[in-house]
Amino acid sequence: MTDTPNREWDQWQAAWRAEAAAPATATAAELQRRLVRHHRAAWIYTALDVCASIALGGLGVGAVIWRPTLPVIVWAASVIVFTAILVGFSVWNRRDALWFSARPTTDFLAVLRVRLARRERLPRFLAWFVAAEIAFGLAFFAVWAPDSVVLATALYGAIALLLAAWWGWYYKRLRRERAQLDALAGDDPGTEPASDRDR
Amino acid sequence: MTDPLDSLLRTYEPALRRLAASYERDPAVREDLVQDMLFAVFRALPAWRRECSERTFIYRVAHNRAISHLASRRPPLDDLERAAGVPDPAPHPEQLAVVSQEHEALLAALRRLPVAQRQLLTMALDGLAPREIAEVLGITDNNVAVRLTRARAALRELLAPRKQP
Repeated sequence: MTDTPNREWDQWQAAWRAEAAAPATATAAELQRRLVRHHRAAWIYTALDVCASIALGGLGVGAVIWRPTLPVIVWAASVIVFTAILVGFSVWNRRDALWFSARPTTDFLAVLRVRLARRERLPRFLAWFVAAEIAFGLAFFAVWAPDSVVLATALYGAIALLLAAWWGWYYKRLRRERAQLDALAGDDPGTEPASDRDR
Repeated sequence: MTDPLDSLLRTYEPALRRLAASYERDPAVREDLVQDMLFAVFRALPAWRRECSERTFIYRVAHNRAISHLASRRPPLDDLERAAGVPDPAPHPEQLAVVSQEHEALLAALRRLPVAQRQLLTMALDGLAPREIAEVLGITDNNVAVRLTRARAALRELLAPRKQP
């Protein structure tokens, strides 16, 4: 035996560490400022979600107070219920998505898969949601405003087409990410994570 | 007085830069990745409960951030990884130096390796012990040894053609 492997390793280590030192870029203060911006943006998005929900709910309640007839009550109830479903799903589906993980790599890949599965759930949810809303809307117009059924159908058709176009684009993107993730996870098959054995 | 967090970042920034270079060959994107890694470490540090060493914790966060980067980037992984065999388009003056050429060759070879092998090698080259590598990846020490042997063989094979006359 010779010391060739070790010498080779030493050479690789020397080459690995030979990169010209780049000037230090981020200071803790700068990162802190970025963190503040990050938190602010997150709060703004959440606040917008809440404000939109309150506005829609308020609109429904206001309409009922202003004209408490059966069609208005049904319409207001539908607005509140559909808004609650949408916001509830949105919050539930993106839970913990913004955390930086300090988990071991094998566990982290599993987390990425879960997050991807959640995003894959979004188009299915939206399809059911929009179908339910269209069914309700058409029934509503058929009962209480038959003259507007044609217009409503055209409007719902346009929404469905837009949704289908978005779905096609989003599906392609998710498929690409799934392939990337499979490639990352499948790099070294045949070895199992320690968490399954002795950890 | 120096902020302790600043000195921590200064300590690990070179390692994170090397790590980013093994994942991303475009210099501009690489710099973004370094900044994202530093930010991820900065955000994650308050959650460190000393269940592992500081170094292990930072490598975990940085590698996870790099994996997220790979998973979400636009072009197909395979094409990029194969293209990564080509050296960076804008050579730095220092690249003329032999050591720097070795560095670039090593980086190019590392980028052509599967991510799992690349992770192992970059950490081993940075001097992490097998136990620490096992903690970062979530595999056993024995597994690290087996994988590292395979990864070194793969790297040797990729670097071998350069040494032929």
